[in-house]
Amino acid sequence: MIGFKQTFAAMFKEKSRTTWLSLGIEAVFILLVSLYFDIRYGFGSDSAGVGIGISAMVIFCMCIWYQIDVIMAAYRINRSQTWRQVPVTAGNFLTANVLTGLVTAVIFALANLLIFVIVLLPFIFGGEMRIDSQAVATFQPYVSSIISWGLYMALFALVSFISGICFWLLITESASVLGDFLPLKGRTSKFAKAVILLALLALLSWGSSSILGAVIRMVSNFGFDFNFVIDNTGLHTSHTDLGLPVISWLYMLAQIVYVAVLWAAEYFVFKKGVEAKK
Amino acid sequence: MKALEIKDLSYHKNLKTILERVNLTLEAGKIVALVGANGAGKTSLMRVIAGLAKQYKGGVEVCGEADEDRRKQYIAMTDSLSAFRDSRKIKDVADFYRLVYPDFDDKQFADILEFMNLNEDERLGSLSKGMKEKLIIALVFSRKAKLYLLDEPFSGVDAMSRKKIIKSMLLWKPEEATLVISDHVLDEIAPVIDEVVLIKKHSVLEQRSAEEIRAEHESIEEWYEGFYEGEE
Amino acid sequence: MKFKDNLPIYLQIEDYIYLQIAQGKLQAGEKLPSVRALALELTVNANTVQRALREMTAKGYIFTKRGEGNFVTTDEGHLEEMKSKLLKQELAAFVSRMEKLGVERESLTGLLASYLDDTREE
Repeated sequence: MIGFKQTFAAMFKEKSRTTWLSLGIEAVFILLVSLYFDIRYGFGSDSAGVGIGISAMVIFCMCIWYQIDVIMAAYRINRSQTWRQVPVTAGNFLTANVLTGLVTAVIFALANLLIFVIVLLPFIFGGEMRIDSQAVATFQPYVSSIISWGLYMALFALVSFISGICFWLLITESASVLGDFLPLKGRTSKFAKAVILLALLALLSWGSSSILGAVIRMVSNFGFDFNFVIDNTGLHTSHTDLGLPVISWLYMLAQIVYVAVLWAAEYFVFKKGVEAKK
Repeated sequence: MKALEIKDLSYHKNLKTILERVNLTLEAGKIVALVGANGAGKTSLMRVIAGLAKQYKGGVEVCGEADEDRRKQYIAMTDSLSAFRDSRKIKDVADFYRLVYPDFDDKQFADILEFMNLNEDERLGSLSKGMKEKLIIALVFSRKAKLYLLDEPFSGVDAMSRKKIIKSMLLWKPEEATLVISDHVLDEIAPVIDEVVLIKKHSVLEQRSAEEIRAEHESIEEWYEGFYEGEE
Repeated sequence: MKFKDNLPIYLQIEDYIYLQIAQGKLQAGEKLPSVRALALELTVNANTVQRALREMTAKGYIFTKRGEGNFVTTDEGHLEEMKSKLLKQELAAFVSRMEKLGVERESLTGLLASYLDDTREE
């Protein structure tokens, strides 16, 4: 038997190949697109923002597309005969698969951040983006809360991303399992799979929102008042001097509980029902 | 010592019976042919043993291990390598095997590749059907497993490659390991097998020693064909 | 080496080794190839080779030295026995083929003698 670490290493090695490939293609594409629009709208004029906006948009779409790709890759590995022969427990297998997906997605996101910075460089050096010392001074008191807010959001994004992978794996795999073992053949089976997929999607979305809703309602009964506020000093919460209020961590907890429920369901379906493809 | 013990195994898919009340015990160290018409359930049986097929009923033990995940460590089964793109090289696949199978032996892999006249820098996409099958066999026998499952290793393979594959089985199968070869014909493997297991009507119809059949002055092929007489 | 498919292979392996000894390819007292080497040479299962060797050991045609392998017997009697057994097998096959061609057993010796005479002339 091999453990989690080896499984993770092997999966990361295989998955990161496509990550680098996608990144390479994407980087060239974005740089070309930005260059085109930057030249068209200029570096200095008022319309310079259009170029940056388009680049940001393209990067955003790429990140969405990559997330879908990560989920598909996880699904393919779960169904692959090559992978399923590997002597590892179902729990380690699934965890390694989800976490390698997460890690490649994080690498992808960070790399995209870097690409965006590169896209911005001409504007910074062009003198269009000056740092206003007055603004910095006004900004100062909020920096620490914004940093912790950023950390919080990053953490929240990671947990949400895991829940996303688990959510889609659960739906697609449940559909395949039902499709495999229902008394249907050929084309009817394919059609049935699609119907089941949609039904499961509706059911699970409803189920997820009610789980999350229930937890949040429960949490809200604690009587905290919590708001995100955007005013002339920037983005902060209405409890800034306390740091992050307890309630936002409770939201996080709710999300984690949700992930745990999804993960447990996915583990059950994977271990008991998901066959390797021939 | 039992390499494999199957008790009352049934497997249905889409409410179709694939395997029904299969009972089978294989001793350690044997070479066994698993024969039957196409679609009789040979591949499904191997997939159930290897833990690749799910939702079956009954008991499957490999070297005394019943747990679906844990018994994988004793099994080396042929894989069509569909997880690897055509642009990957043989050595990439070997790297993967080295990483995920603790019993993978590098030296042995190099030896078998040489025996099979394969070069580790060749790309999967450039291999012919016979060469690819040879690679698959090389990967399987580079592992020191207890139970080897070869699923139709000769389909689409020319006569010379078949001979190589058979020789490699004799050369690299560990003495105490059990080897199961599924095929719908028996001609070439007949002299190398200890036992033949016949799958028909979704179950094990017969399990016989090869020498026992020959002692009755019948060739194994005649014996096998006897079960399908008047069915064409 | 091609085996008949309707006779136990271990018996055919025995015959193969007897033949090797009779032809002098294996000398009295000489070490036999290992089980694995024989299995490869003949493309048969090692268990079958093992069984053939076991049968031959039981009959006293070969003997095992612990940790060293199997050796051809040096016993003259056994060697003779082996050879005569092979001859008998060949003769039996010859006679049965002749019978199938309609040659009576009684006329065989005459036929054989005249054939030998004819071929000696050439």
